Amino acid sequence: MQKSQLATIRVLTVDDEKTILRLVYDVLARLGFRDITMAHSGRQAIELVSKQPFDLIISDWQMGDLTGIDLVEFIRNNPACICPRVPIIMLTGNTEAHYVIRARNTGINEYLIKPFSSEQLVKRIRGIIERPRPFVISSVYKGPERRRSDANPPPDKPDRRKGKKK
Amino acid sequence: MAADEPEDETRILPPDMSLYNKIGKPDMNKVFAPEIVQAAQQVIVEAATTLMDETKEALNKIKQAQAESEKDPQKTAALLPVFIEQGFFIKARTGLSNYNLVAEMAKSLQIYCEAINKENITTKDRDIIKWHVQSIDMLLTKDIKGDGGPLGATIMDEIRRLGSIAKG
Repeated sequence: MQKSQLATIRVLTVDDEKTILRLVYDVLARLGFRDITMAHSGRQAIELVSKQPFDLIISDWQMGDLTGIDLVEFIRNNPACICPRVPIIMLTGNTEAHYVIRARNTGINEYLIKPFSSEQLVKRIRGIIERPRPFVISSVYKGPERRRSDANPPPDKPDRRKGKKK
Repeated sequence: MAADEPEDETRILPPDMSLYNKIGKPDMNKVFAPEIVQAAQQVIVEAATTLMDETKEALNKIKQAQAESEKDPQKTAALLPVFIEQGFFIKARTGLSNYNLVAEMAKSLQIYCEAINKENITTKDRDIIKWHVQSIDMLLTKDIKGDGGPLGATIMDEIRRLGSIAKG
């Protein structure tokens, strides 16, 4: 099998439920990711992001010790984290709007609701790779710009605004 | 603002294309070709058996808790964490296995138990918990997948109605 170009992306997946963690790992592996680290708790994830950089993090919200939100807060705000701008996908069963808003305000990049399909996961990963958003650093918020726009079209697509008549 | 107070400086860093560049600026339609995405979806489908075994274990736990609550209503407050945790557990697993109605029911159980006034758990509260547990059990026994069609919608409406009555 030809090696996927995703093989060099360093992914950290975090979930305290072993079955779900393994499932996410297997789905990512089937998509072509090869450098995948699994963390069984928020605390373990914090230790990892304090020691080594990652290119992408996929984290559950509800975990026994520290929540996914605690993890995002640590990554975005704590100087001990060595990859403060790493894209984060929150994978959760929390569907209510207030959860989504809270996650966005904490600095996640994407929100993926369980049950998820491989297509939905791919859509979010593609968004992160192809259309990264500007990163905001202020006293009250650190994370990707919360307002989405077409300001940064995929690299292989022309910027629709260019050449547009006024 | 006082003169010595630092101004809130917001910095906006440009989009970071390093991830795209790192993997060699590939054609993403090829990287995530439909057959690759489909193969990954197959992993989710195949995991369903394990997920359902674990769901049945969780269901047994909430059935046991419900039986204890019925036997001794005073224990209900102490049993709420079981309903909340196992409800969440069932929701996560059944949702991934296309038992969407069960997932909805488990979520409803979780939310309801989180909202209960622990100091004053009423007979109606206990009945609603029992309703949820029996419904989840029935749906799994009858192997009802998806949203359950019109029957599923009726069950969920009834559960929500009972929930809103109990909350007043």
